[in-house]
Amino acid sequence: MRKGVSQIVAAIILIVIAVSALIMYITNFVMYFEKSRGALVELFSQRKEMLLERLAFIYSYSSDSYIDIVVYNYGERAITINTIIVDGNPIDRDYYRVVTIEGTDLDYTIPLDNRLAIISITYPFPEGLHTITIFTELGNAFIYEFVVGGQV
Amino acid sequence: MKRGISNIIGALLFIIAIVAIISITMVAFYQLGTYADTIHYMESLERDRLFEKLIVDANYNITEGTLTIKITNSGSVVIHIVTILIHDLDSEVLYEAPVSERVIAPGQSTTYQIAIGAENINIILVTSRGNSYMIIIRDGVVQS
Repeated sequence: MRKGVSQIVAAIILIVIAVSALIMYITNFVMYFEKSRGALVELFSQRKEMLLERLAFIYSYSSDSYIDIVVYNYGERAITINTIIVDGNPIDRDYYRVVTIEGTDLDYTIPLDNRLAIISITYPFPEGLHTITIFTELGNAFIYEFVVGGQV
Repeated sequence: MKRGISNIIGALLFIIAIVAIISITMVAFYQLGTYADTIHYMESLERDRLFEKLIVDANYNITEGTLTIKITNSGSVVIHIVTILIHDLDSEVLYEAPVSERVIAPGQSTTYQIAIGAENINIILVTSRGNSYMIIIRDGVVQS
């Protein structure tokens, strides 16, 4: 009689252990699967968003202390400028602005409903060739070269 | 009895694994598909951008202060003029001409008439694909 009970108890204990282990395994597996799926979706959607960013340099005018570059966002996403590098030197945000043609501040973003904008950079530009690299928040880089002394 | 339960557990694990593998594969293919569509779309945008071609004929009447711009689409794609910028070099002011957007089919022309009271100006035509064309006027004469 006691032997029989202990067998049933042992079987129940074994089943409980097996089911617990199964639940733990399934939980971990689902978590891992969700993480992998999330990473995959994130990777593709980030690359897709990067592809949709397009910026054209339209016109510029400059002096020895500033340059105003007229740009046009012809892509499918608003472009937010993260960093500007002039001749290899990162420019502090206080020294450049993104504005509309009328001069309204756009807070470093060129939206789709106002695709034309001016990037105004205050920087000492000696005579010669200069390179401006504009990095966006999504990681794209747009490079603009110009010569001080004439319009490009 | 125990054998039956282990079979059920094994089958459950197998089904979960199969569902997970199929799901992740489907997600991967779906994402890959939309990514490929985006690449294709942006490639066609850049190709059309390269094919944009305009012939611009400008005439500036200095006494009336009227600039007439005839734009002919000599390319193979429809061109959408989104704005015309005017940079008055004498007063150093850049502004948009008060003109409407226009769409020009291949082989077609359109004419803009813009009132400008300046002699040294740069006029920039901007298309929806980000191309630009400049007209230079110095001392009231359109430069070729």
